[in-house]
Order: sequence, then C-alpha cells, then structure tokens
Amino acid sequence: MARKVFSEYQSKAFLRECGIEFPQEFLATSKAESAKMAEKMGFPVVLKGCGEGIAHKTEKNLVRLNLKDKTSVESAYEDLTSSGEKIDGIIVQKFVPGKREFIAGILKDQQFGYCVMFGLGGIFTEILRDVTFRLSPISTVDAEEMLHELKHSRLLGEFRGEQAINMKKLLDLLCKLSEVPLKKKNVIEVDLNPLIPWENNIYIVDALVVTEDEGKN
Amino acid sequence: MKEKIRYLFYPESIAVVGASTNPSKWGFVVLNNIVTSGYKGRIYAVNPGANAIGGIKCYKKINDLPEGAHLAVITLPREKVFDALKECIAKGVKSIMVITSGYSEAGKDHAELENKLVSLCRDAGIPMAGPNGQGIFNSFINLSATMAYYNIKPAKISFVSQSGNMGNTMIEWAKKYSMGFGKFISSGNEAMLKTEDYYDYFKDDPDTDVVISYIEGVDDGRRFFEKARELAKKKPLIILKSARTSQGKKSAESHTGAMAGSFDIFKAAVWQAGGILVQNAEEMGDAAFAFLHQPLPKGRKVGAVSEGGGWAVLVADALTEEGLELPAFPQELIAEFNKILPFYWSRNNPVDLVAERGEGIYEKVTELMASSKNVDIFMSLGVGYWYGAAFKIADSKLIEESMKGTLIDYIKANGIHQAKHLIELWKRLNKTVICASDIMLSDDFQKNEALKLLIDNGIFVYPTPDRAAKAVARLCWYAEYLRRREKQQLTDYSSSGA
Repeated sequence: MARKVFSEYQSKAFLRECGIEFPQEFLATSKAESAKMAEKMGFPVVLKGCGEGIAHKTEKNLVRLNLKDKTSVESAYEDLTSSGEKIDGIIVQKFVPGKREFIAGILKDQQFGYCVMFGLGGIFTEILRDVTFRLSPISTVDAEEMLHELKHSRLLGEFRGEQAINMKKLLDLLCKLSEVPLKKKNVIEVDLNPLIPWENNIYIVDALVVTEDEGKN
Repeated sequence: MKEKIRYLFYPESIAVVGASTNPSKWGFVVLNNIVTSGYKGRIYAVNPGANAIGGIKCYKKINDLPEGAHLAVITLPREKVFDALKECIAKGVKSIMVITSGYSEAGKDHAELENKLVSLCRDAGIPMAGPNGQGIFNSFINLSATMAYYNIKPAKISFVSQSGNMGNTMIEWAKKYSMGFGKFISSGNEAMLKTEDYYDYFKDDPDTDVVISYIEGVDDGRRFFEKARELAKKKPLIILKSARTSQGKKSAESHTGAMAGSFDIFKAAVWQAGGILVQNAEEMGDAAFAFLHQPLPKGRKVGAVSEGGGWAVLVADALTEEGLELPAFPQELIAEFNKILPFYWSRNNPVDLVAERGEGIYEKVTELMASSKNVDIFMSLGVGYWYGAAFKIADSKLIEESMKGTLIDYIKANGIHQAKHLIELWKRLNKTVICASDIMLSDDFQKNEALKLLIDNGIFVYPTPDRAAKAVARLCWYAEYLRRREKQQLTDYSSSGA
C-alpha cells in the first residue's frame, strides 16, 4: 500500500477536479516571482511553504500571514525557503481577514467507510472537538443536521461585525466534499482547514489530501 | 432470508436438540422454559439417552422427529453442533438458534468452526441465530426459548440484543412499570444473522411498532447503516451502544482523521439513519414507552400542568435544556383559566394547580390547554395524586371511620374520572400526552387505579420530570428527522462504502 501525502498545491489541484473551488493562488519558486505575484494580487497576502509530505504547516512554522508590502513578502520568502523542510515552492495567496475558522474533511473509517466531517477549525480544533460527522455522501438535509449538531453552531451566524456564513455555499461545499470519494477512489483523508467565511464567501485557505494506492503494478 | 426469520419468532413447532434431564444444564432450562411459558406449539426433545423429560417425549435422533421443526434450539456440546445442524437441514428444519458457546467469542482459533456452521446454513438457505446466543422470546405466542422464562403482557416492542442479559434487563424494566414487551432475540456472535437482519424483519413485522437494539459492535458498517435507515423510515429505532468511550486509532495525517473516535462515527451513522441513541437501559425503556403509543409531536411547544410548584419549575428547566419550548399562554386562554383557578394562580406555563382539589378543575384546565393551538405536547405532572389522597383518608386518625368509606369512594371516583378524561382527550386530539408522577418512584403505584388506567391505556407515567422531558425530546427529534426528509429526496448511498 503506497500512501501519499499531497502538497497543498497538489491537494487543491486534486480537489478542484472534484468541483471544489479555492481562491486564486500562485506557486512561486523565486523571491522576485513571489513579490511580483503578491503585487499583482494585491496586499495583504499570505506566504506558505509547499511540499509533498508536509501535513502540519503551522506547527512547522511554514506560514506567514497578513504580509502588507513587497519587503515583508521578500523577507518571508527567504525565511520560508531556509526552514530546512523539503519545499517545492512558496504559495502566494490573498490574505482573508475573517475572524472565524472552520474545518471540513473526509476520512475513511474501518467499519463505515468514507465519512465527512465539519466543525470548528483553527488552533483550538483538537481541544474543543466541536465537530460532527456523517457517512458520505450526504444530502443537503444531512448537511444541515450536521451544522445543527455543533455545540457552537451560533458561530455560523453573525459574529463580531461579520455577516453570517453563506449557508447555501456551506451546504453545497459539504455535499460536494462528501462526493470526493465517489470520484477519487484512492483518497483516504482530506482536510479543508481552515475555511474562513468572509463577506458573502467561504474561503478554503488550505487543503490536504492523502491517498493510498494498492501496492499492485 | 427476511421471510424465513419469521420461523425463529413464530415457530409452530420447536425441537430442543441437546435436551437434558439435568436441571443445571441449558438443555433442560430451555426446554423447561418453553413448556413453562405456555407455548402452544408442538414441542420435541432430542436426547439419545432418555425416554422423556417431564412429559415431553425424547427422540434419539433429529431424523426420528415426526416433522422438520420450524425452530431447532441447539444446546449440544460444541463438538456435536456441526453434525446436528447437518441433520436438522436434512430433516427440513426451518430455522436454527445455536445457544452453544465456544466459537469466535473465544478467540480467532475458534472462529473457523463458526464459519463452518454459517456455510452449512447459508448453502441450505436456513437462518441461524447465534452461536453463543441466549435464545428467543416472543410474548405474542408465549414463547420463552431462553435462559429465563418471562411472564409479561404483549406489547409491540421488539428487541435485538448482542447481549443475552440485556434482554432480561429490558423485560424486567417493562415489568417494573407494568408495561408490556414483545420480542427479544439474543443474537450472540451474529455469525450469520446480524443485528441489521433482525431490523429488516422487524420493519415489516405487524407485531412490532418500536425496535430497541443493544449493540457492542457491527461487522459491516454500511450494511448496518442502510438497514437501520430503512427501518427508521417506518418505525422508531432506539439504540444503546456500549464501548462508547474507546478511542479510534490515531495514525491519521489529517486533523479530520485525528478527530474521529470510533463512537463518533457510529453515532453519526445512527443519527443519519434516523436512529435514537440512548445512554443506558433506563433511557431505552423511557424512550420505548413513549414511542410505543404516543403520536409524534407536530412541534416543540409544550403546555404543562403540575400538582405542585417544585415540579413545575424543574420540568421547565428540563424541557428548556432539551430544546423544547414552553410558550406563554394567549390572553384568551389565561382569561379562561382565571374563571377556573384561584385568583393567585401563577399565570405561567407550566400551570401550577396549587393542589387545588375542586371537582372538575383538573379536567377543565387539561381540556383547555391540550386543545390549544399553541400546544403540540401536553404534559401532566403529578397524575394520580387525587386518587392517592384516598389512601391518606383511609389511614387518617382524625376522620371518623364511619365517614371514611363515602369519602374514599368519592375521591377515588374523581381520580378515575380525571384519568379517563385524559385518555379520552388524548385519543380525541391525537396529540402527544406525557405524564409524570413521583408515585411511580415506589411500587405503591400498583395500587393507584388512576395511574394504572393511564399506563394500561398506553400513556406511560414517568417517575421524574427530567425523564419525561428527555423522552419528549426524543419524540420531537424523530418527528423532525422524518419531516425534513418528507420534503426532500434522500441521497442514494448504495454506490459508496469501504
């Protein structure tokens, strides 16, 4: 069994094929390129080290948020490329300023097969454990029920000056995510983490895909 | 296979294979319980060494039986089981319950023997329950082919349990509260017939209105889910799962993978299927008794009356915590209550009847509140108090003996009238009616004819307000689950899985 942990860039490409949308981003392989892309996109931006096998970027200190000008982008680039991790390139992304973070994902349970998850994301995910699961694929009704099960479902509403999360988009996203295993038979884990609601959209800022292929030739 | 499972629950003839003359052996106990429970079908005993056990004639071999019995209960030592099953099949036996232990439950080395039994029965197309199951109970035909024999009135509750003694627990539970019970099967190792196969059978069984299920583990999660979902679409399915606290494996790369404990996924599957999860036997009984006779509520609005202030406040807390609503009453309803209740009544929901003993007050308040459009669920707390007052009169050292008889008769008649009125109202309005009374805390409730009347007519009386509130919440949850799906087509799940 060959297990593969996709890079962020590869993960998003993989999931785009299943109809999941991500904000525009670039993979820069030089400092000049990263600065050029950041300017083209408009500040503030985020830079992230991207490489196969890298699952937890924050823990590995591979994320630089809210970079507001060219100088800070360039120094972030240098910083990330000298981290010692095996990196394919640096992702340049528009910074999403939303205050709330959610997580959605797919896992393959030994007994029940593919499941979809949704819950509170960000740095307290593992502590709060406010997540719900359903067997995949799900209907919109199932997705709605998942959201109601969250202990802190009120976080989906208006929050500290931010508008309520776009419910239709969230339900669509969960349904679509739950269908990924129908299209990609070798997937065993997916993380969309964090999902950040901002204005009328939900931005999937980071993604991780893990596949497992039978060891046959 | 589904149709053939009927032979397990409704056999017209039973052969106990491995019947014993020794009262300490399963082979005696099961035969004894079948006879003692009053089973009316044909009973055969197979024992090569005895002529008869009690009045039951013994046959030396299965082949000697006058017919292929509908059900063969196997209590033989393990080494004789395989051959016995072969003989049963050759004889034309229709279904088999293997009580004998020492198979997969004893470890991997013993699983092979179990697989052989399965192959044999599968090839012959014969349903086999067990092995290592405790037996089958069906009150509708007075059948106790089990370790214990049960004497309980029939009710349309069917129980599939992965543990034999949980059957005993639930039947005792029902008996404690004068409730009935229907069927119970101890599914044992589920070598061939799994929990979900019984779901499939209960789904179409006319003597089943509520299914309860005790689960330690499932083999094929997707199949379990599909069958549970099909059942829950038609009938309430209440599940008690043990081993809830064990954590899943932690070898995941993703956050999603790391967040999933094994019970998290099981719970999700049950909820998605429309099953009701409970924490213990008490909750399982409480839920089953509510689902058995109560119509599903149309909404979450509760109107409640209480004989006493403490319970009124406690039930308000419990209902609110369970996500139910206690709406304020409209002015016109308050005006009606003003005409009936003393001037100092609370004007809140729940209405505290302040132990007001005026004749007909309870009936009038109940009628008005339960009929209100503002009320989906009517709750009555302290039922049976009035009738119970008669016992206090009887014990009184102040009231003259010559006066007591008339007074007691009057009070009892009123208590009965209240109960009859509530039953009539319940049937007329077809609304959810939930009762609670602390009289249920002791066995004295058996003497309270008003309470007995409610229970015998299908209105269960909960011993505490919070247990009542929890049962109501479960009715609401299931009603809403069904309503949401009536509006929308279900996803097709058949194409995916592990």
